[in-house]
Amino acid sequence: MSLDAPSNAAALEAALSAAGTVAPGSDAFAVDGLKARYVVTPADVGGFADSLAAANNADASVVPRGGGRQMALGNVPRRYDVALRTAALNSVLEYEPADMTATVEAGISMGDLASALAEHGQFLPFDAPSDASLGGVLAAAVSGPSRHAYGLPRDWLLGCRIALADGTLVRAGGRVVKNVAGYDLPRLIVGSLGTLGVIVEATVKVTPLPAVEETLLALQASASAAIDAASEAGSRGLALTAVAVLDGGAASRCGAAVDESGWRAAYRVAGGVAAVARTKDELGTLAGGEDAAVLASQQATAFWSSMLEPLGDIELTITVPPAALRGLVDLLPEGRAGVVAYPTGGKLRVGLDSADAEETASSVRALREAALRAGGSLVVNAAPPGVKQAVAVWGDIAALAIMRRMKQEFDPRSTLNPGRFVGGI
Amino acid sequence: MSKNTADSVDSRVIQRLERAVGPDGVLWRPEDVLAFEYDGTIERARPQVVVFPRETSEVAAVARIARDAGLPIVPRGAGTGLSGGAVAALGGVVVALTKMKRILEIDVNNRFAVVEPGVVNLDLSKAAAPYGLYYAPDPSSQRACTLGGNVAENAGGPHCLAYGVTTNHVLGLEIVTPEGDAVWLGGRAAETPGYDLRGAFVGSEGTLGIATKIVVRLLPVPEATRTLLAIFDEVDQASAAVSAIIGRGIVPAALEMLDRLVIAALEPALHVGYPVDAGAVLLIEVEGLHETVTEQAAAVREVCEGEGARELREAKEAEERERLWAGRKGAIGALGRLAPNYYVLDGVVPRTKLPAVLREVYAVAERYGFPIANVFHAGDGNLHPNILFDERKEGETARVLAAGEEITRACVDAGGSITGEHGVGLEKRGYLSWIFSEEDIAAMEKVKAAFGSGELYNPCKMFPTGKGCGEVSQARLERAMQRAGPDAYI
Repeated sequence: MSLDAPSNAAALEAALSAAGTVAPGSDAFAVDGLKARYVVTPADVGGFADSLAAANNADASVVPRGGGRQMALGNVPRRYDVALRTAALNSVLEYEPADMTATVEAGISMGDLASALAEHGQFLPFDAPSDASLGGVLAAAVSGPSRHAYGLPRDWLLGCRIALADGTLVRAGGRVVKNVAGYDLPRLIVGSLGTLGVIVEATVKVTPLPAVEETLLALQASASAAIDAASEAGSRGLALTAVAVLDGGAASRCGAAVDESGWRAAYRVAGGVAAVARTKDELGTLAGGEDAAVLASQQATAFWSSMLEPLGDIELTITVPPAALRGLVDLLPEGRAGVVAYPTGGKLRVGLDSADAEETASSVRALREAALRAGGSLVVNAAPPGVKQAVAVWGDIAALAIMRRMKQEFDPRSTLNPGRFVGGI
Repeated sequence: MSKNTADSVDSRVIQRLERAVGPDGVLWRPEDVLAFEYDGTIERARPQVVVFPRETSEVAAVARIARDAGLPIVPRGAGTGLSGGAVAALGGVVVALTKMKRILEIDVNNRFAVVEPGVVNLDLSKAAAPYGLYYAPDPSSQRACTLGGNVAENAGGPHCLAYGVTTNHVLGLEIVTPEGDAVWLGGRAAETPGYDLRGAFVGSEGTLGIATKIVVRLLPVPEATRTLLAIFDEVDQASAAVSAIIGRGIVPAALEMLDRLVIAALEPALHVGYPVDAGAVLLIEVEGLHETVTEQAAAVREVCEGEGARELREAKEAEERERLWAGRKGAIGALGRLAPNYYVLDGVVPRTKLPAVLREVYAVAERYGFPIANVFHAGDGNLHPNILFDERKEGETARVLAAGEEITRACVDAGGSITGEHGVGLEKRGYLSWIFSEEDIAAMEKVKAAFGSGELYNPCKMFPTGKGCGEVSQARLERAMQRAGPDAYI
């Protein structure tokens, strides 16, 4: 069945219209330059599942979409018929602050979720822009400087409701903080980029907001000095909830400009009053720490949230065992837009502005080889379609055979995000 | 392979296994395999063969031989599991991983260790101690249980309240797939691109393959630890204090409850200083910076006093702390003093439902006339009611199972789960459908299909259905309980 036949397209459109609001595809919803035929915004979870079922039956491909913040991630889609939005799935379903768990619809924005939790002095320690959706953050496994203290999104998802490609709604995990019943599907779905199913509801663990929070910025003469200082600070078990190192380009994007060759180490110090005071004292004794600037609270909020924005048209993410970061930083290309490292979490983001696909490809190859040698990996987090075709977005993947079978089991018609994930899944 | 019967296996299969792992690595005589009939639960089933591989390549060879012979394959660590995970329900080949017990690497800078699956949980922390590091998940059986078994069951422990269960600490796994290939899931970095197969494998109870290497995170030993014992006259006060501590925004490293009956069992046996006249005690530990623990210990004190604690004690030195923990970890073992048999449950409830569900536990005890002793991870809402009974009394085992089922049902009705850390295994497979629909379970079975493990990998575990598993039923469980000796319950 092909959508090229007008009768098939009409049948699909009728089914989609019954399940939600349907608009024609537009530039705003383009992925890698491809426009969808339909942009569908189902009103509720049932409508979302029905839309997915209708598309699946019509052999129409679906790109699930939350806040639209991670649309640059992945290979260029093989096909793109329907943009299926979670935007209207934005309710808080159950929130018991004393249990420190919340169940929400997955289209809720990180900002709205943060407001609901803050009313009870709690938060979900994800590093994502406030207009990103929770579902999108989970699907793309977005992480940032808070990973130092709080780990990764997969550690906070207790359970979820998933719309499978054929429209079946399934529950996975549970609503309690400890639960080992059945396979851990929540972990499988986190980071799967919507290729196995779409998270439509999520139960997350939440945590208390710290009593005191301050941001310190230390000037550093070099990348290695910055990484060493931040790693040392991180290894002492201090009251730090975020640790990052930024080059000049990234620092100026975050409103903390340094001269061209300088680097910054950034610390979010948080916890009880005494622990915060002690931590600031110790940071002061580290290299570059004696001149550390304390940011005013508003400035600090802006600083950390700017850090979550893309570093360039091309952004690479390298994940390695933490001690390998220093060696990788030495290999960074000169003409770059910005670098942010999370030294204690072993993650490095590199922004490139190069228009030359060949040059980019050779940088990516060199860095990827080094990352692999160190026991890690490199993902091209964002890039223009031409560059994506010149470099491998995901690189070679271990256990790809099992992953392909997983995709086949969950989405046999390759309806969901066809081609975007590892190995062209 | 028609010669494979319940008690024997084709001699050519034995020969192939002996070639794969060496003649001293294969047990097949009925008297030799007898010791591998059971784990920490009440179920028993005799495997036809037990093999002891020493290398990944040997595990792979065994996997291929079992597959070719159409024999079930059951991975096994120390056999301390509490859900029947290592019981060879349909016979077949038990792959005992206890000879693969090397710590291959401790990377101090990157804070991880690479271990073989047979390494004992506590031995890893001991090996990491000279570097100021340790492995956080600490099941009560940590002196005996293996990390491979911990991975299979996604094991927990008291300190998982602050640090998370096994899956939060596993970076990567080398597994042998059902086809007999060695494949890495995850690795040495925190994240790897692609599906999180590592996350799917942890807690899969031996149904997806066999882990042959495990990369685990190590944590730095915190600079300060304070251990408090809050003593209450009533259980209700203690459970209210649990909710209040969590509600106050304090996440202790551990927050354990022991009730009167548990103390009555452990104190005369272990002499560790628990008050035998208390209704319940909370064992509370806070860890971290000196400044943080000082603040938290004061807050915990205040909350407990506010909820009516009659006394708060604090461990003055390491030795006193270790005594309190020895009491906690030895508690279930000491229950043998109170009754010939006990049956331990593993339900989870939202923390705010703890007081109500605990009242229901005691009401069930009352209704059935069984003493029920509670020692559990209160901070996580993870209950371990232990039903005390005497199997020699006519009809008692059936009523124990009914009582256990009522309690587990109460946990589910409160919005909780059938298992927090012991696993579903044989024991609770019938309960999986209490919390998951047919469609939910079908989605899990897709994972099994993707790994290609089919019906031969640890059959009759986790899922309510399975070929040839019909016999593994309530009736069989009762018969098993009647056969089991008093030691079979822990």
